[in-house]
Order: sequence, then C-alpha cells, then structure tokens
Amino acid sequence: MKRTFLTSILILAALSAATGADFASAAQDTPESVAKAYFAAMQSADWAKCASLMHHDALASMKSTLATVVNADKTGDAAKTIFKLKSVAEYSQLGEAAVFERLMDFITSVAPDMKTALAASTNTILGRVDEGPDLVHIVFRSRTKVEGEEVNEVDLISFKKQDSNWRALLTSDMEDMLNRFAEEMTPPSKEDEKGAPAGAGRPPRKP
Amino acid sequence: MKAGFLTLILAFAIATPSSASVIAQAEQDTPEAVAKAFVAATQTADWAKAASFMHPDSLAQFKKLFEPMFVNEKAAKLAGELFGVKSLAEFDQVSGAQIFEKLMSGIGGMMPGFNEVMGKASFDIIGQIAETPELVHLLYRTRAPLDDMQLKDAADLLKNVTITKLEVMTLKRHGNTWRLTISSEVEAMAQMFANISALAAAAPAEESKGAPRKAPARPANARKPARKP
Repeated sequence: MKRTFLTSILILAALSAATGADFASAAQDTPESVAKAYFAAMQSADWAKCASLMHHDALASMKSTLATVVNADKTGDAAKTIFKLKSVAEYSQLGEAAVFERLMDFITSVAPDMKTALAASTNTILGRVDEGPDLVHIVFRSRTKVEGEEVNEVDLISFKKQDSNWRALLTSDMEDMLNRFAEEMTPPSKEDEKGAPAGAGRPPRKP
Repeated sequence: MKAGFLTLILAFAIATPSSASVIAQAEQDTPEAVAKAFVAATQTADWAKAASFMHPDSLAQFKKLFEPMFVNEKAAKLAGELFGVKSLAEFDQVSGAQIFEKLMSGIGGMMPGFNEVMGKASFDIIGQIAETPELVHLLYRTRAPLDDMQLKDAADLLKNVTITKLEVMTLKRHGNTWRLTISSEVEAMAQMFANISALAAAAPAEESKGAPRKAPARPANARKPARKP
C-alpha cells in the first residue's frame, strides 16, 4: 500500500476518550459526538461501526468508485481478493456498508501496521462550522506516526443529516485515497496514456 | 502534471474581487483578509505578493523541502535550473519567498492554461476556528473549472470538468498581523515535486526515453512530513 494511502486512513483515527456509551447515543447526538464515535470506531478498526456512522451518500459514492475497479478487472481477482466475492457479478448485490467493511478489512490485512498506528493515533476536535441546517464541518487535529515519522495536521470531516441523525461524509483525503486506489487497480485507459490527469472527468465533490 | 497536483495549487484560488486597498490593509487585518489577499495574489500569478502573505517559518520550511535535491548531481542541476542557482551554497542564499515565487512561476510556465484556471477559480470562506489566540483555521471551498487547461494530445479532456474541494487553511499570528502556514498538502506537493525531479534526474538515460509515464506522475508516494504550525 502506498504511504499516502495509509496516511489518509490514519487521519481518521480517534480520540481515545470516546466510549461505548458514545456509540449508543451517537445517533441522537451532536455532530461532535458522532465524530468522536466515528474516530473511536476507526481507532479500534471497528469497520461495521464506522459504516453505521457514515452517510448513505458517502457509502454509495464509495461503492460506485470501487465498482470501476471491480468491473475493470476481467480476471475477477479484485472481487475475490478485496470483497471476498465469487464473481464480479456479485458486487452489485453487495450492500454499501459491506463494501466499506470488506475494503477496510482488506487494507488492514495487507497493511497490518495500520491497526497499530490507528490505535496509537489521536484526533482532537478543534471546533465546528455550520454551513447549513443539515451540513456541519468538524475541524480536527490529527497526530499519528507513519513509518516512524510524525504526522501532525489539521483536517476536516463533514457531517450531513440523514433523517434525524448526523452521519459522516467522506473526507477529501479518503476520497482522494479511493480515487487513487481505483486508479492504481484499474488498467490505464487510452486517455490516461495520452496524459489525462488523475480524477479528470470524475464528478466534483460537493459536500 | 496530474490533476491531483493541480488541485493542490488550485486550493489557493479565490473569486472574491480584490482591490489594492484590500491587499494594502491586509497586513493589519483579520485572518480572512490576509487569506483573501493571498489568494487574490495567486489569481493574478503575483507569486512575490503571495509569498509576502506566508509565514516566514513556513517559507523556510518550504525551502528546506528542496535541499535534498542537491545531494544528487543531476537533481541538483534540475534544481539549479528551477531556482536559478548553481549550487547548494547559492541556494542557501535565496530566501524561502524567492523559492516559492520561482517554483510557482515555473509551474505556471510549464502548464498551459494554469494561470487562466487560477484566475477563474472561486474561493469561499465558510467559517473559522481559533485553535489558540495565535492560530486560526479557515474553512473554505474552492471551485476551479479546468476548461482552460491544455493537455498535450487531449485538448478537450478537461472541458466542463470542475474541481470542488473543501479545505482548511491555517494562519498563524506574526507580529500584529496574520500569515499563512504551509498546508500539509502543499508540503506534500513540494516534496513530490522534489522527489519527481530527483527520480527523473537519477534515472538512467534509457529509462528517461522509454519509462512508463505513470511512474513519476503518481503523487501517492509523496512524503507527508509532520506539520506543526
């Protein structure tokens, strides 16, 4: 796995302050509490919990992006190796949360150090910015170590209302990571060979 | 150049109309005013002005990213051409602001349509968070239509393509004003640029003739050093 790929995951790591009680109450809580629960789930590599705290739009976008990987792989290896499917055709039947869980399981299996790094990382929420009644951005400081090197950066994660609950959208790092992952797993197209930039033609992200 | 690379640069762009008075006032102004003045400068490709709104610590950090290029003879030659110096000793004499200015001017020259894209990009500040009295984070959204970017052999590829990104810009107090810190993404971009140049310079001649295009074009390996504003 590429280093920035790992870093992208690591910045999602959580404050250890979050508890099990946070998970239970997160659904009725504030964006901050959902963020803490989400970070905590990331920290403990509880991908099912993470998926449960993600917005449907984010999971759907992820599944769509990864579909390009699965469908482009004529050998079917991606479907089998990453998503534990018997055939490419099964991918469309896989639930969006399951896509996320299996992808993260795959990543941690090929990059086992990631779990250690995630567990040791901290994310401190610095504040929130409300863009609208249904869209809130949480700014946080992430500290972790990647390959022995300290990564200390400020990042953001957006939360959107889903029914009465706040749910996480994909961070730009996560989105970039997914696009890169898709790009690396997909054979180069004719456009790519001509010098097309990565991400060209993909729809813009609009949180 | 990959779009990811471009996106990192475009993250600086701004739509808010600026005036000389806004820029002049910015030094005593709010973090928002400084950020807007910075982005306004990038929109007109006034990189010296843009550098003047960056924190000295960040400019020094930015310059330091390129020092490793002087370890390798070929990379040193490339760095020399890029920054207009002949040796590490000469490089040491150039300020961080000048390094920033030369690099950004160089990128503008290498990428047809880059300055036009910068000029059309929008920059909307959504809000701000003060981490400490000395450190403020601005949350902003940038939208950049890429129509003007001219790719070799694929002129229309970016037609109707727009990049939209939500990002954080950090400003640190400097005397009685505010100055931008270098973002981890720009750090990564600079590091990537240094890595690519070093790789290209170190590659055997036959590789430079027939190497797969993707190898140096992927930013995924760019180092992301610690950022401590």
